[in-house]
Amino acid sequence: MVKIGIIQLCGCSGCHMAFLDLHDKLLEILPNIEIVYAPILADIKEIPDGIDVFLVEGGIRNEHEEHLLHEIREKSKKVVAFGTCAAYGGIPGLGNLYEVNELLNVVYSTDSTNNKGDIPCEEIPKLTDIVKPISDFVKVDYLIPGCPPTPELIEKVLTAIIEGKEPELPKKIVCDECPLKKEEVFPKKYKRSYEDKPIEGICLFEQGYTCLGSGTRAGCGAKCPRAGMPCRGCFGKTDAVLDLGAKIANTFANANIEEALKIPDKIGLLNRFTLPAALINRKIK
Amino acid sequence: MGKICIEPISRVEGHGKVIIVLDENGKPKEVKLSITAVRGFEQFVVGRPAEEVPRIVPRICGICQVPHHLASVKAIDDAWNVKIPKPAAKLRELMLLGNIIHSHALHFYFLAAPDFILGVNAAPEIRNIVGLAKENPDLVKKAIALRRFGQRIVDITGGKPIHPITGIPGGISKSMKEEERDELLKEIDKIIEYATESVNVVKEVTNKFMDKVKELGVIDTWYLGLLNEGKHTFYDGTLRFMSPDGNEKIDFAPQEYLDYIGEQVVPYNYSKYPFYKKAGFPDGVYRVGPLAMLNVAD
Repeated sequence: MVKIGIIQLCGCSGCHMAFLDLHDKLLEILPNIEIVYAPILADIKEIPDGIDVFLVEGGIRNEHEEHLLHEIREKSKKVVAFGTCAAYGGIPGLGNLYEVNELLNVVYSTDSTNNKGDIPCEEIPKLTDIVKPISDFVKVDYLIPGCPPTPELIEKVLTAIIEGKEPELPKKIVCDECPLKKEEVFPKKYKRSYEDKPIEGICLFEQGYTCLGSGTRAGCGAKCPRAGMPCRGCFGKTDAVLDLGAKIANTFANANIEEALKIPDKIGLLNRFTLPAALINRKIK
Repeated sequence: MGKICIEPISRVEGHGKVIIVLDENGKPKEVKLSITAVRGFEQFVVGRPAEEVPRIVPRICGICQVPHHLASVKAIDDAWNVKIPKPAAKLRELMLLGNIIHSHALHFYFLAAPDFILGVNAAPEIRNIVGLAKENPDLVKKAIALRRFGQRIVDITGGKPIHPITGIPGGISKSMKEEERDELLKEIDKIIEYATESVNVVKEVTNKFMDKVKELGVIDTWYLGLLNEGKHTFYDGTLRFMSPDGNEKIDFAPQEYLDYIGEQVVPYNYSKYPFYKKAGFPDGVYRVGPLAMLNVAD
């Protein structure tokens, strides 16, 4: 039986939930694997040796997570970056736009805080300078992108790994699996999602919504555009480009440069899920 | 003076440890819960377009992402003084209920039940959902069905089963199709049956462990819950604090939260301790959840 470990580092456990969203298929998969370490599902406190496949959810935000990651690598044959936080940093990566002290000062000085400015410092791991994907620290064998990945993709990749085959990720972009119709027109202006009601069945980007589908890896089934909301890039970049944010910035600017410059919060939009893996991965003074 | 550290705390979402400080005789002197992670949402939502916040904050927790999605979109509705159409409010409420169905099935069957059904002394390797599936596959099939149904509701109303996206200021970006409604209606009777059976399972195990129920974690706290004209509600209403003895009740609007809710920073914990401001910290520490919801209701 294949020995599996699964952990959440700087994540939210959403990838664990996506794994459980295999629902009835779990009953087919679980008897063929042995879960030997999984703090969210079982009480085993020490990471055992000889793990075949370790699924790591979450990136690295503190020294304890960094330490655990190295231990995981030493004890596992294959390490999988499970989900976008592990692979690219994810939403917590937005923290890279601030210095650590700045970030902690805001968290512990909110209007609701009684003892403003007291910052916890005992018994808790120190934060790292910035959030980083796990591949910045250890060799990562496979990626399962997505925030969260779809249960179908998890099953596909996991089955391939267990069978000793090379798992394949979707090579195309979200647009390729999006049912909304393109009319080959450029947006006249860029709109915020509340500013208008999208015309049903028509490409959101062409209507002026800042959809990131044209640079984002396929695999989600274009769930956001199908629900009337522009893609935010949660599956990260494709293999063909270096930097998702740069790729999309290029597309937006090529379509309408004057209007593209007016898009608010370009950093937080273009690098929403992938800042720690971007060519420039933090705020530079 | 010794110290026992239990880490990681398991079968919960998040990162934490329990520190038990011992006195010179080796007896517990102080117990501290330490949440060992912080990400800084309070900082990194600042300055972003408001309508993007509901697409960021669900990542606070992958189990209960829907309340974070909806709380943030409701806050923007309110800040922008928007009244949303009734169907949108109903769809958002349904999204929340779907999440509650998943989250309850998860908490009870996937996380807590292995202790009760396999016994607290079973080895950790067995005392989990995989062990439970081997011991009682029928029960786990029902647990899976409950979760699947809850997640399907969120998928239909929220656009994605995990980290929904449809809540936008002013309403919701996706309507429910008739076939989606019929799909849910087709299953609902069976799901109600499973939920009823689950309540019986919970009652059974609670009775079995009644001695523990009466002594473990019994503390006096304030209670906080959401009400609509005195009746318990989930999605929208007024808030009520109730004192530990049940005599004092204080109603307030969500918009007034800063006047009523404070947060205390403690040195060993990245999480702050919320408390009822007028009672101060630590006297005003309160609990939420089912017990509080029922206690505060008329």
